[in-house]
Amino acid sequence: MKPMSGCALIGAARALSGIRDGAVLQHSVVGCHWGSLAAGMLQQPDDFRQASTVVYEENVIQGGTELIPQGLDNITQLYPDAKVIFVISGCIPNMIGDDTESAVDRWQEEHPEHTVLYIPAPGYAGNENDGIERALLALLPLMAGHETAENEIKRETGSAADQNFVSKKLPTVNILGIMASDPYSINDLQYLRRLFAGKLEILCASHQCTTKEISRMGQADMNIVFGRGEKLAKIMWEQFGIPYLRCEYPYGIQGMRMFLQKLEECLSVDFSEEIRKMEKEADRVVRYSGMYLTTLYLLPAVVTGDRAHRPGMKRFLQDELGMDVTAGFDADAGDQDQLETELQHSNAVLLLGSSFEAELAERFSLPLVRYVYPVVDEVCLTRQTLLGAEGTAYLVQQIVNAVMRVRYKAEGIFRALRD
Amino acid sequence: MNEYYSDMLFLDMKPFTLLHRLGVNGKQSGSLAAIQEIPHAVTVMYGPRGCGFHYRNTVRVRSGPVANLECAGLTDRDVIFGGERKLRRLLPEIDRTKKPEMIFILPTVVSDVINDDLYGIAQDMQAEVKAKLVIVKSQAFSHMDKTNSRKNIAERARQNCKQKFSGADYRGCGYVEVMNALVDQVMEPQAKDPLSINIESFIWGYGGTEKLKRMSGLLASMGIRVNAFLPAAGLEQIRQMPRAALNLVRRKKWAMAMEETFGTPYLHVADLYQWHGLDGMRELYETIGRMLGILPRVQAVLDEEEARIRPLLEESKQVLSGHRFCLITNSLSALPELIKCYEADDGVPLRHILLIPNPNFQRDFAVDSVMMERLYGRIREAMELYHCHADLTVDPSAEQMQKIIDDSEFLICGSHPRYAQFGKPVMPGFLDRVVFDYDSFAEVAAEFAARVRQQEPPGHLLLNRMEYDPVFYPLRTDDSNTWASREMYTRMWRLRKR
Repeated sequence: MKPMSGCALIGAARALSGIRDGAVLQHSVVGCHWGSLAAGMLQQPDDFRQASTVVYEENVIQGGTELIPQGLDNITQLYPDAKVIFVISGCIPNMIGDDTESAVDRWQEEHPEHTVLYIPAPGYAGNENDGIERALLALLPLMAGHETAENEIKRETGSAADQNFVSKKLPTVNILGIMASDPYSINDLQYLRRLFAGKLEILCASHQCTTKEISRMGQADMNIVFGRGEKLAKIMWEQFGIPYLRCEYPYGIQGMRMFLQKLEECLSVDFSEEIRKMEKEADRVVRYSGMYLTTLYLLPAVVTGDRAHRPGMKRFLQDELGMDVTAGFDADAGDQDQLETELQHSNAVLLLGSSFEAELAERFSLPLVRYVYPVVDEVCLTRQTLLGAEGTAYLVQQIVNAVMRVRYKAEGIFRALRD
Repeated sequence: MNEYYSDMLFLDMKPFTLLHRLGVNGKQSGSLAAIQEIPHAVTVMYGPRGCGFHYRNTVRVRSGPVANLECAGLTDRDVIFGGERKLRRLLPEIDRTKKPEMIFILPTVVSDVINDDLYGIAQDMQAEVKAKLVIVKSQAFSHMDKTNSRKNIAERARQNCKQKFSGADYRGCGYVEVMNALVDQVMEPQAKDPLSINIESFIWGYGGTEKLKRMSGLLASMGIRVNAFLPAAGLEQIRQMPRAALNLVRRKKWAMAMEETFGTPYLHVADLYQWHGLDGMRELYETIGRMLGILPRVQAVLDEEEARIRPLLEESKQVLSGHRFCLITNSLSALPELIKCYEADDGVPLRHILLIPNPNFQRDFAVDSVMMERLYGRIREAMELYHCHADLTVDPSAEQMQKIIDDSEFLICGSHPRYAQFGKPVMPGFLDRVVFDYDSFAEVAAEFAARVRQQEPPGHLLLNRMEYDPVFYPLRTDDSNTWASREMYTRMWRLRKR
């Protein structure tokens, strides 16, 4: 198999990497630390809040729990502003029977001034999505009003509930399921905040937040779940009575319209002005891109990606560009060999996916648009979003440019006949 | 296109240098670097899906994600009962669908703990698959031990400036593990071709392919044939590697194994700087000639080449001679070689040397005060030996640095952007241009001279807006989280007592 997504440890590390006043201690080997940083670093190039206990051969023989207090002593010293430390354990500690959880608990008892949360995530016992779900669930004790006693962020003075009281002037939501290492995700969040301004407040988006924002999650009116994080959302429904809304990532004009209309229905907000403005802007986009859109219309395409992003992209291509999405699947469910087989039997002329599909795209002479993690061969240094009218224009631009850059039949339309 | 600059552009565009400041990857990245050079080879990562996923994005294969990497996808069931059945199913499938010449089975930390009998499985399966099955054996768990870098520094400290460094053997480096597997499992006894050599195609610096091509050309003019480049060779070529009479190598562990098994001696080019310049090249080729028993023939070619090239070199040196250069470096252990390369080989008149070492050098590399004194002794020895009259300043204050740079016309600082703020022309780091043929050497010298003639410092450099650390480029001085991650690695690994 050629996995198109990582393991539970990578998922957990990704899910927690957007907490700006947290730090992650991976209790695993160096490769896990490196691998999880490398796959996301182009999206977060200057924000390394992750370290490894560096499990090595002597730990396989003698056990590695002694690394936990060392690691926690050091990480709390070196990240003095971290209000929570997440310990994620990988394959080896689990295989050799280390009681990592007890080691974490012992350290925590001796250091009540710190908040440490433990997430077991051996890579052989779950895929990336499992790790993401587990890590998001681990945020629960940080939420004010949570039934356990860990609901305050211990470094802050006063009770978390008092300090983080949310004034309910506007309806409030949390966003779950997006990762900081997802391409464009931080820009997309900024776009949503601008779009919602004065109408809806995002209390916490787990991919770009602080512990203070997490502590307020339990006070939101609704959780928006993009493909992942549903386990947490369900528990929050049970514990806090917060309903959740499963949404496709709102690519395209219609995608965003549907998203906003769902929010209108659930939260009694009025986005008609925002939708009107977007529609107007969409007219301009279509005028500029009309001749390209006609080319794309009805052409077969393949879309791969994670469950947070792929359904929305597939809908956008089919519903708004009129393309024929013939193949592709959730990255956690399939592998690249399977995708290769699908491509062999597909008429697809365009592929949307990640950098990991680059070689396949090249082999099948398909233009590739990188829109989903991991993107390791393309950067975005601007505030470009993939959402709204501007994002739609940009997506179309990416597709058109990917096609135009191919030197198609450059040696003659009938070159193949000469051989 | 000049391969030196294209390598710099394409290989450096991915910011892995930064990641390397924070730690290392698992050894499988080195293994993949070796296997990626081999045509028609597929790798099976014998581990969980995460390994098969993230190792595709590995530093040593910078052209893009590794394509021909399959994964056994070990799960908790395999951890308990062994993953053998998966491998038995996967190998024939890969053989049938991908039709590779070789299939490498690469262990991971998980399989190293399970300890499945991979050799046994491969022996059983070989009859069922056409591809040659190669088991990469773990020499160390997870990644190479840190003692290699410590050994390297200790060895340098013990040596005088003219001794050739031979370095640690990099046990447990994933790259070396693959090379050893090729020696043990693929190579076959051959009748020796007395005038042929193998060259290891690994870490020859930017522009490495061009360097080796030109080296081969020069060897051919001496009557020496390159039997194969390793690992950049196909199955048949690798089988026939023992035909060569000599191995020219960058890593010696596999060469030692080949010497033991097939009787092939090796010449270890451990540190490129030490083979730099006219005398460095002469020593390299004369050693090869001596080992192959054709020294006079080699010397005749070298004499001719040197005579041809000397006027061109003199012309370049003439351009440099009237100017004042300041060399800025972090490397305490490599400074003697830098002095030799710049001052003696390239004719760069060094007016100042600024040494800004890692403030934690002794702590991080377990260097005691005696060894420190030896390292400084080597620098003094090099300055005397190569007639370098520069003022050496260690860890200068801001004021000292300003004064020194004011007194210099050109800065040589490995392209570190920190020094651009001083408004003096910065020369590109030319040391990666260590080359092994005379034309290239003259070309590099001419390019250096041309830079001196032309270069005007940029007036409004965007990079000047950032404060890069003087030692750990590209870390920025104000980037506390990144520094913390680096220090975590130091405390959890570099300083671990073992």
